[in-house]
Amino acid sequence: MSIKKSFRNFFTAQTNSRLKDLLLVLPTYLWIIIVFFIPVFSVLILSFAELSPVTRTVVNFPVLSNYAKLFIRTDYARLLLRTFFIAVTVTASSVLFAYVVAYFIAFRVLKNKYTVLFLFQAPYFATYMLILLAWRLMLGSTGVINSLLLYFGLISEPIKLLGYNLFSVWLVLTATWFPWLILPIFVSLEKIDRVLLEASDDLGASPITTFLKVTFPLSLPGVFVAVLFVFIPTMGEFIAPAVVGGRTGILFGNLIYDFFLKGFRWDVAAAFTVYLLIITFIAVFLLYRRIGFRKLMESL
Amino acid sequence: MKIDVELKNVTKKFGDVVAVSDVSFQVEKGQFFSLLGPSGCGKTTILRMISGFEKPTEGEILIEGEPMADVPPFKRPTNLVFQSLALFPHLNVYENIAFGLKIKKIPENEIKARVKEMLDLVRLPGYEKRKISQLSGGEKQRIAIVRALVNKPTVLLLDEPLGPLDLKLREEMIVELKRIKREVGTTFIYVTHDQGEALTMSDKIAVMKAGKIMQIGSPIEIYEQPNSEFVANFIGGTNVFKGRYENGAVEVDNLGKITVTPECQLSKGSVLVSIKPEKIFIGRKLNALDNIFAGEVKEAYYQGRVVTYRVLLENGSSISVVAPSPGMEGIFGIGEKVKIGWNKKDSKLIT
Amino acid sequence: MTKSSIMFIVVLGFLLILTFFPIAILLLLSLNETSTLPLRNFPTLKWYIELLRFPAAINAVKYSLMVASVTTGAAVIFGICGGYALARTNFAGKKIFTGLLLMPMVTPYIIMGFSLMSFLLKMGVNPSLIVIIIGHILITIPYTTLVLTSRFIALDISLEEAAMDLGAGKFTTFRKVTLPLIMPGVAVAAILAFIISWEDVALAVFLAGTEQTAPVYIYSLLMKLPKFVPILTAMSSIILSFAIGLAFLMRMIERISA
Repeated sequence: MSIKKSFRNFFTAQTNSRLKDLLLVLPTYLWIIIVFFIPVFSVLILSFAELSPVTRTVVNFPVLSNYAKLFIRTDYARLLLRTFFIAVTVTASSVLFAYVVAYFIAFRVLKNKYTVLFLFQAPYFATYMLILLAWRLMLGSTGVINSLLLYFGLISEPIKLLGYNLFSVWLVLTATWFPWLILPIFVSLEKIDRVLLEASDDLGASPITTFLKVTFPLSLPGVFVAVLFVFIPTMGEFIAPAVVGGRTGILFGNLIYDFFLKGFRWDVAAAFTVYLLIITFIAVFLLYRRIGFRKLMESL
Repeated sequence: MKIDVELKNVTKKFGDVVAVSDVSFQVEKGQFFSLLGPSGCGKTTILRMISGFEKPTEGEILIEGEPMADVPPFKRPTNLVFQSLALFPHLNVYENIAFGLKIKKIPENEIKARVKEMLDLVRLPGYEKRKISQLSGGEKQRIAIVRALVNKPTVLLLDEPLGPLDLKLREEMIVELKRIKREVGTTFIYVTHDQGEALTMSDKIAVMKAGKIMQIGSPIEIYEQPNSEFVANFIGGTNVFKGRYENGAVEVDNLGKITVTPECQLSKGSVLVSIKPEKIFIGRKLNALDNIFAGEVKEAYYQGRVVTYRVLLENGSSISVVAPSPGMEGIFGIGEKVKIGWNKKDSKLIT
Repeated sequence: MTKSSIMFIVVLGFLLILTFFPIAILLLLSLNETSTLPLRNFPTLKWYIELLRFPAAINAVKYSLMVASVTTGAAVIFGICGGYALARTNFAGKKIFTGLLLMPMVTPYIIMGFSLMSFLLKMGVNPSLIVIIIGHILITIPYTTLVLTSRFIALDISLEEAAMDLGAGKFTTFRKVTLPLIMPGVAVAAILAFIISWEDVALAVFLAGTEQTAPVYIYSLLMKLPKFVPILTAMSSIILSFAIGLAFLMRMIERISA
C-alpha cells in the first residue's frame, strides 16, 4: 500500500514529472552525446596534436601545425576555395531547378499535385550510389552521352566537358540534389494564400511583379531550408567527385578522406574537419538567423 | 440534500494569469448545474479541475465528500463530454461506448447489454457497427454523451457540447439533453456561454466573469433579479440606467424619475435600475402604468413573433422594447411618435 | 496554351530526363555485353549469371537490408519517445534538446564519419555492421523525432484526455488511443529512416568493415576494380526492384494518412 501511495505521489508531483518525462528523451540525449558530441570533441582535441606518422602516438601537444598545413600548401587552400565555389554553384542551380518544379506543381498543376510531386521524389529510393553509377556510365569520353551524340553525327569528336571533371561533378550534384529540394519549396509555396496573388493582380501588378514582390518573398523560408539542405552536404561531399570527378574534379572532402584512410594523417584530417565544421557552423548560423528554428521545423 | 460536488475557495493560476479566483459552490445530487459566462471566464478550467486534468493552485475540490487532490482523472467518479467530443476515430460506435467498461474489465455480455441500453436511451438503436466518420453532428453528440454516461458517473461534466451545432440541431439537442437528464437522474455540470441553453436546462446557474462567480441561483432568480450590471447584461439584453435612489424612486439623468418597488430598503445613493425590454409596453397612447415616457422610434427589427424597437426618449435616453407582433396598434414605423411605459414592479434595482 | 506553360513543360521535361534517363540507361546496359554503347549482343543475361559468382554483392544487399531494418526499428522507437516528449510534456531542458537534435541533421556526413570512426578506433572498436547501425541511428533520429513530433502535435489532445477520463491510465491511453492514431505517422517515419539508411554511402564508407552495405560495396568496387562495372549494373536492378517496392509502399501510406 505504501509503495502504491508513493508511486502515486511520484506520479502527480509537478516537479517530478518534468524529470520523469526527461526519461523519454534520455536515450536520444545519450545517443547524440556519445555518438556525436564526444567523437567531434575528440577530433577537436586531435586537431591540436601532432601524431607520429608511424606509431600514431602523440608527439606534440598542443600545436597549430595541422591548421597551418592549409596555408603552407597552396593546393589545399585552392581545393577548399574550389569546394566552396562548387557548393555555391550547386546550391544556386539545384535550388533554381527545384524552385521551377515546385512553382509549376503548386500553381500550374491542378489535378494530382501530389502524384507529380512524388514522381520527382521517386529517385530517392533508387539510392544515391546507384544514380552516381548511372552517371558514371553516362559521362566520360566513351560514355553514353558522347556515344549517342557521335552516333547521330551531332559531333565529330567527344565533348571534353562531358568527361570526368569538375563540370561533371557540378552537373551530377545538381541533378541528384534538386529533387530533394522540391518539397520544402513546394510546402512554402502552397502555404501562400491565393487571395494575396489575386489582390496583387487586381492592384495592377504584372505577373512578373507579382512574383518578385509577393510570391518569392513569401516562399523564402522554404528556399532557405533548401539552401541549408544542399549547401552543407556539398561542402563535405567526397563520393561524387571520386566517381565522376576524374583527376580535376576532387574536392576538400576527398582530401580529408584520403588523410584518414590512406595517409593515416588523422591529425591533419582532424584540423581540416574542424575547418569544415566552422564553415558549416557559419552557414547554419546565418540561415538560422534568417528563418529561425520554428520555420525550419515547419518546412520538414 | 446530498452534496455531490463541492468547491471550496478554489483558485487556479497559469503562471501569473489567474484563471479562476476563489470560487466556491455546491452541486446537489441530481441537479443540472450550469456554469455560464463569456469565453475566457474560467468556466472550462473549473470543469477541467473537477475532472482532474488541472490541479487547483489553492483550495479544495470534494466529490461525494471525498477530497480529490491526489486522485488522477482516470480514478475519479466523473466523466466528461468534451467540447470537441473526442470520439475515437479508429474505433466504431460500440467500441467507443464500451471503452470505459472494457478498462474496468466488465464481462463482455454485460458490456453488450449496457451499450444497447445506452443506444436505446439516445434513440440510436443498431448503431453499434457504425464508424464515427459516418455519423451526423447530432448523432456524434449523442454518442459522446452516452460514452460518458455508460460508466455511471456520479457527475457528468459537459463542456459546451452543443457549441458546433447549427441553431435548429441545437434546439433539438437541448430537448434531448433534458430528456436524458430526466431518465438517468445523474448530476450534470454544464459549461456554456449561451444564456438560452443555461436558462432552459438548468436547475441552478452560476454566472462567471473573469474567474469569479458573479451570481448563483435558479434560472428565474438569475433572470428576474440579476445582482449586477454584468449579469443583467449577459443574461439578456436589458435596459440598465444609472441613477440616485430616494424615497421609492430613482432619479435618472437624461430620463427623469422612475418609480420602483419599495421592497428593497436602500439608503440614498447611486444605484442601477434594470428594465427588461419585454416588460415595457409601447403604444400611441398609454395609461395606467407607473412610468410613462414619450419618444420616437429610431430602429425597428421584425423578428416574427416579436418586434424589437429602439426608442429615443424626449429627454435623451434610448431604450429597447420588445413587443408582440403585430400588437394591437400594428407595427410602428421608424420616426413614429410613441409612448412607452412599465410598472414599477418591473424596475429592478441592482446594487 | 500560353507561352509560359510551354516553357514550363520544356523545362520540366528536361529535368525529368535528367532524373530518370541515367537510371533507365543503367538498366539497359545491365542487359548489354559491355557497359558502354553501342549495344552488343543485346539483350543478354550474362552479367546477371556472372553476378551469382559474386556472393559479396548479394551479401551486400542483404547487409543493407539488415542495417536499414535495425536502424529503422531503433530510430522509430527513439522517435516515438522523443516526439511524444516534445509534443506532450514539458521536460527539463526542452530547448537544449531540440537544438541538440538538429545537430546531426546539419552536419556533413564526412565530419560525423571521420569523428566517430577515429574515436571508436582509438577506443579499440573496429568497423563493422554494428558500427554502421550506430551511425545510422544517429542520422535518422532527428528525422523520425521531428516527423512524429508534428504528428503528435496534430493529434487532438482531448482524445487522450477522453481515454483517461474513461478510466484508462497513461500507459493504456497510449497503447489504445495514441499509438493507433499516430500509426500512419509512424509508418512515414519508418520509411524515411529506412531510405536514409539504405541510401547512405558517405557515412558508411567510414564505418564499414569487411561486411559492406550495398552502396559501400558499389563504391569500393568502382574505385578499386572498375572493370567489374557490368556486375554492378546487374546488381543495381536488384536494388532498384526493392526501391520501386518501397516507393509504392510509401505512396500508399501517404494516400491512407492524407
